[in-house]
Amino acid sequence: MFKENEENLTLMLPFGFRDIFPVEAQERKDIDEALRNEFISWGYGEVKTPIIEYTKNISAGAGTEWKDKLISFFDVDGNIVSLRADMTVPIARLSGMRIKERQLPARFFYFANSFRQSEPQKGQKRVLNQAGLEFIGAKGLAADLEILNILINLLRNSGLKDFKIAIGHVGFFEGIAGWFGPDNEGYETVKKNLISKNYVALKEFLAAIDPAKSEVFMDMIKPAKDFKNIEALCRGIADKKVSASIDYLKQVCSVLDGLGFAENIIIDLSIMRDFGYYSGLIFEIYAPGITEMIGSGGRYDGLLKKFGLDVPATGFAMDVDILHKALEGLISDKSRNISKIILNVETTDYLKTLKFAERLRKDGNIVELIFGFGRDTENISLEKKADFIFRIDFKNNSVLVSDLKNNTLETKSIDEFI
Amino acid sequence: MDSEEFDLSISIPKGYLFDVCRQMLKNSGYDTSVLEEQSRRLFTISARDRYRYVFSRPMDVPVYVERGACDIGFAGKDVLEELDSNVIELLDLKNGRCKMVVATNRECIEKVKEKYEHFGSIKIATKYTNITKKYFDSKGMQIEIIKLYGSVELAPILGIADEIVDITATGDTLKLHDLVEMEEILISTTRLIVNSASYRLKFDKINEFIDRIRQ
Repeated sequence: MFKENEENLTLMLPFGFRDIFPVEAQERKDIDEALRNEFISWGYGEVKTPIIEYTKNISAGAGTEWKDKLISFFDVDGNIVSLRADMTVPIARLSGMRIKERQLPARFFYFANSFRQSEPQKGQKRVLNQAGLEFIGAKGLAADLEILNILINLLRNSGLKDFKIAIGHVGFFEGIAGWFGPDNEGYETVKKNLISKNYVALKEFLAAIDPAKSEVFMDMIKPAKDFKNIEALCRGIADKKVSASIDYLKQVCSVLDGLGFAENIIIDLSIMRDFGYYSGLIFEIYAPGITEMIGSGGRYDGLLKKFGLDVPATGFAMDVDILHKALEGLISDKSRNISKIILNVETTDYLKTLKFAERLRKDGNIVELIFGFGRDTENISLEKKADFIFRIDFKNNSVLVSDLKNNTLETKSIDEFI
Repeated sequence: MDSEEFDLSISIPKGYLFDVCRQMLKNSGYDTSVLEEQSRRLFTISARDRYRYVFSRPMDVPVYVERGACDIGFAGKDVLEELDSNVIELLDLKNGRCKMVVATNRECIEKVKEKYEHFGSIKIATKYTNITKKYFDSKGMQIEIIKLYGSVELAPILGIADEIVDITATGDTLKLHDLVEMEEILISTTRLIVNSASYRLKFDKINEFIDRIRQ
């Protein structure tokens, strides 16, 4: 009569979120480890920031479209707060709060989840598992080259073949906008269409202003292996900002060529990002067989000023979920070299059992305990991908060792292991 | 996805755009003999051009391209607008022209207006729910959308909707059902779309294809 009705929980997650199981988590850890070692070897230090920030701060650097994608709610004091949507803005905020000019340049890296709203019917994820770095207070070529070098090292060392880093420059569009005429609205239209990848609308818009120039522009934003075509077109434009940005990209490429990275670089002046804060070099990472962008980055000199520290900065972020997919089959499972033993005992002598298991672990094995012979140990062991089952009989001081790989069965004395 | 057998995978819509696309490929000098024998096959490979052609429903073309099953696809602007696909819309091929319109029964024109003033909302039947919503939102009009998968023209006759939003090439079907065009929402033509990763990874092959198609 007084029994409450048990609540039946709906076994569902809010759309766009998921759980991660041990195999994936382990591989993820190995990937993170490789990235971390590279970051640390260049002098970068890890930072962690709160998941929640003031919406005002988060949207400081975001593009207009992106602001709608924040997951926001009211704090108890009535302030609007949001889940962070990337790590660049929180790190800019952190730098503004904590970093003094004399501490610059500052090198930070991170592994973090970021959150962005998406439409339910599109079925897209709302959590991004990101890894990346930010190089704060570093201007110019040296810094851009450093982060590109790190990025290429990471990707090459991971075993990823034939990946491409497409590089472009925001200054190119500023120059182009000036070349077409001093019209800021035009720049926004160009930007909007590049972000939505609508080249048809883009060309129509520009052709209405100047058909000949629009042809040149559309030709320039084709991805290319080298600067031959781009330079020829650039001479016809004769705009300072355009040629300065092309020269900059040429310098970047010539150093990367010297480092032996030429095959991984393409020039792509169509790259534009949905963030307001990019200001110079911008780039995107692609790999064969992976249809999503693995990562992206670039220079964002104007962002930190908004947080009270007027210094340049550059950085990149990778989507670790997508990187993981790209690396499928390339990750060597380190734990496979360690034997996994299912320790099966029918006893209540927990002390002896725990001591014996600890002994085996000290020898470098993974030991999983199963008490009681009643259960179907063989099947459990297969499920758990074990190498051995040790059935212990403390009374007779013996161990029945079944080697699951070689299919052998052998009785040994416990003393052999101790 | 990468194969020894072909360099590019191209998504071709079945239906009225199929012949338009085949003709275009033929005019550009591509081997279209493999497209002639397309009957119930889902895809075919041209060994000479090293292209794989994937045949699909028009609404699925942008999905295949967005998800990278195909590098390139031919899709109507109506479909792209409806799906809001994340693909590069590279070229307007200017063919396959049709328009999307708001239409209603000849006798109902006045009635619909009255109804909107009286009840503050009208019912629209359509296959294109996203475009319809976007269009009426932009006009600040309140509507109820009724999603249908075919024979949208029937809806006003059967009285389940006041107006329809549908695609029309010649206007014949509208006339046949005593419907009149009230407003034009968009003009649709065939667009060449490209997967954004493919565009960077296979740009030489893709640029070559585009240059030939444009000629």
